[in-house]
Amino acid sequence: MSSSRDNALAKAKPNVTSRGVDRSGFLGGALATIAVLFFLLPLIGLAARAPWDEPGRFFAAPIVEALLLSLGCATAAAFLAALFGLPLAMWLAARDTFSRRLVRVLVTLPLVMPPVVVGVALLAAYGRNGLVGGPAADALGIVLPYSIAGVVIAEAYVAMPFFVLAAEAGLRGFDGRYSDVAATLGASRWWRYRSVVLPMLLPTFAAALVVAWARALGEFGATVTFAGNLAGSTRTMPLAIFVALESDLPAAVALSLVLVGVSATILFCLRDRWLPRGRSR
Amino acid sequence: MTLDLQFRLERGALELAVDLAIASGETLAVVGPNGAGKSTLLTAVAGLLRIGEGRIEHAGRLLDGGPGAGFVPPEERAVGCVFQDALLFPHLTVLENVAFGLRARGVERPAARQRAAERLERVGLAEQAGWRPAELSGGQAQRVALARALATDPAMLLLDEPLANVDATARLELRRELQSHLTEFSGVRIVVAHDAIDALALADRVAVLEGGKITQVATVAEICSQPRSRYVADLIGVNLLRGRMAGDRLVLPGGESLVVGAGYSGEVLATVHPRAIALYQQRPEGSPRNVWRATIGSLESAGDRVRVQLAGQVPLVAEVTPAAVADLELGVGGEIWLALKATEITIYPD
Amino acid sequence: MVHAAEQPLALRRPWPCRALTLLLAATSGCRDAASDELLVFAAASTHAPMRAIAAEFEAAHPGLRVRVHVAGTPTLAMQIREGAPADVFVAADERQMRRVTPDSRIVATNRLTIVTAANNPHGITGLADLARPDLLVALCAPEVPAGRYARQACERAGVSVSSVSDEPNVRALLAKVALGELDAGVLYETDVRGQAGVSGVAIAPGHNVIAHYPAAALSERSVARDFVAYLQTSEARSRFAGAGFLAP
Repeated sequence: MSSSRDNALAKAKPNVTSRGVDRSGFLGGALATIAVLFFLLPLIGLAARAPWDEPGRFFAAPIVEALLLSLGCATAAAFLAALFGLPLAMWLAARDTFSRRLVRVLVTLPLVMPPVVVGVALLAAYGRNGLVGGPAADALGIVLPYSIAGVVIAEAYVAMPFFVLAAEAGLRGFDGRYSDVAATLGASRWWRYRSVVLPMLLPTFAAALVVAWARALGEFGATVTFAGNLAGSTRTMPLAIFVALESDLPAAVALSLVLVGVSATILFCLRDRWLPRGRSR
Repeated sequence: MTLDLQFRLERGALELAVDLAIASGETLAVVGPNGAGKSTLLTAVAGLLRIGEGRIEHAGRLLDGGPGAGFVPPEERAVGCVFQDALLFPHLTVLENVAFGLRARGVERPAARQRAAERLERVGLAEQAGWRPAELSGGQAQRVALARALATDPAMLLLDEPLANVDATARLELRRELQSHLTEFSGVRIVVAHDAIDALALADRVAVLEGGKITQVATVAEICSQPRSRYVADLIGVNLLRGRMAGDRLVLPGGESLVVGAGYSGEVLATVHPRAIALYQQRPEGSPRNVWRATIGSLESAGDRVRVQLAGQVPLVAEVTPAAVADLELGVGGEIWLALKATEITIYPD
Repeated sequence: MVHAAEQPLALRRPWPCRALTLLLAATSGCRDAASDELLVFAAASTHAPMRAIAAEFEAAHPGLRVRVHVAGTPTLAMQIREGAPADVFVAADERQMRRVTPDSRIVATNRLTIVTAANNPHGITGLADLARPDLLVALCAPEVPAGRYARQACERAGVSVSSVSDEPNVRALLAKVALGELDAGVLYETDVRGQAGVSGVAIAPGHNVIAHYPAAALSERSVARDFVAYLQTSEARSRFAGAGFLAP
């Protein structure tokens, strides 16, 4: 991270505001509008199908139960992904070697694996008859499938690549000269990390955490395969929606709207908080 | 207390070899073309880059002895650095930026903020204490960077093109301020400068770095009167010729010669001020003894003057007024007579 | 052992993927509307016999192509309600069929069975064993017909089974038993037949629940009605029987 090539301490005037990018013109504006509509119309369509005449269906006890479970598990999974993913991202960003490239591919794999396959893979590793799961169950009595821990593990597995890749991109984009300046000011390695690198990258890590959280919240395939689907213990919102879809479409739509609404509200509030201050004076 | 630099290091294509001693209370300007290794020299002194061989010593304390020998990391070197981009920490306020070094050295927050506020006051930015760096102008950011570097009372102050990103109007004022801050600072001062005026205005001595080698170290006056390389001559805007004396004539490597007067011998350098070269449409009569015909290579405007590139027997640059350009009907590719008095040629040993 | 690739697409994926399936079905329907093609929407469990029956029907009707689109019954019903141009619908559930059309005929029936790992290592003999505390047992979700029927069967047998996971479909349940992550479950006899890695244990006839498979012609084309009629012939029935279905 200590970049001090000749003239390295002398280039690139920092961009003070981000407004410079906003010169999209008419075509850009039209395409952006289409993009917004593309995202928005399905949500409007969903809302149009909702059972508004029966408001009680949005607040039924099983919905609240599944929602709380979803939010709790997704948050736990996101933090779990960050706890282990941050050191991994730092290791990946530090240097470009063959082994690191290999590990990066490995980290990316869950992105291309169908979630159900992830679930089967998790069972094969941590299930009752899994490589690790079997011995762990015999020796320690730890059983992950059909438990809340299983939900968190499945969600963390699919969410972690999102965190690692986003955090790594942020770390790679970090201007090491700030760390160098801190060193010349007498800051030890730890102090530089604590007071310069981490705080400057905090918005990036926060964004990575939010992406991981969102992915975990919507997780279905891996969860249902690895952790199963039992109301109150492992039935998260996406599972409840999927099962409801089999029998009762309005119920599924109501569930979906609750999930979308709650997560949109949370994302909106988080974004507001984590944007760096002092830019809009 | 002096800073002794005697080291070599390789970095990519650059091979930097430095042999310098800078005393406390002295300002050394390092000038040279892009890629000559000026910033690399500073980063080695700051400890951000290890040297390949040799040593860096300050006041008898070995800071870097090369691979395997002692190395003092940057955080223990008592250096203050100001970089071209200021590099203020964007997540901290102006005051917190200035207090950063003190906090890093274990000063309690209230005391650090108190001392930082005093420093800000001295660079005239007390009112901006609560601002974010993004809200400062280029000149203000450099002042804060200077205050931040000085806040820890370093033994060495390293400035890397501190005026490069400051616009022309603010530059004059900032240069003057910088000058007074430098004189107040009692330690070793090194300023890397791209601009000749900055270097000459701020420095006591100038080191010229070209292609990783130091080609000249001299006082400002000496640099101006006796440049030793084409780069320095260009920097201060004079013509530099290198040759051998033969009687009262200077013989150039190509065989051409100029009458320069007696009293010199051996290998010499000669400077000719561009304004001392007279241009004529007709061969001039009378006293000048160095008269020859030249082709005009290019014309470029430089302030209120026009620089005329003369190809021919002796390649020189002349400076004339725009009116003269019109009078003489000067045009690229045209031929012209030029005359140069022997007394306008300054000779000194090579 | 169930391979993921064998599972009908729409069963494995969350419903954005189903929307895609719907889109594909809809566009292909538009293209084929004029040509001589018959689009049959068939419940996933009827996949094998329907393919064979479609081939035989094609052989008897030169120039006609029968395309069989296979997915879970609720998915198919939703797609049809959203406008998918199906000519014929073969469902695994009468309730779903009634949501699409009131006019249907039963073409096959299916029995429930207990599924265990190969060779029944825990020695399960009937529904009563599913209450054993040493066994990890799961049923399909009550929203799914297989889950509803399984609960009815357990009720008839007077057994209270605590399902550790309400599996969203029979394939998921089957996969977990095959992987050893479940000791037993209840699903259709046709699901177990011919599957490697699992064994079936019969449920006492008095407790068993019979699932009915209705078929209906959805378009006005005579060939659609002909196809539904053909499903009731003895040739078609023998195909169903070969896959483990029972006659209506």
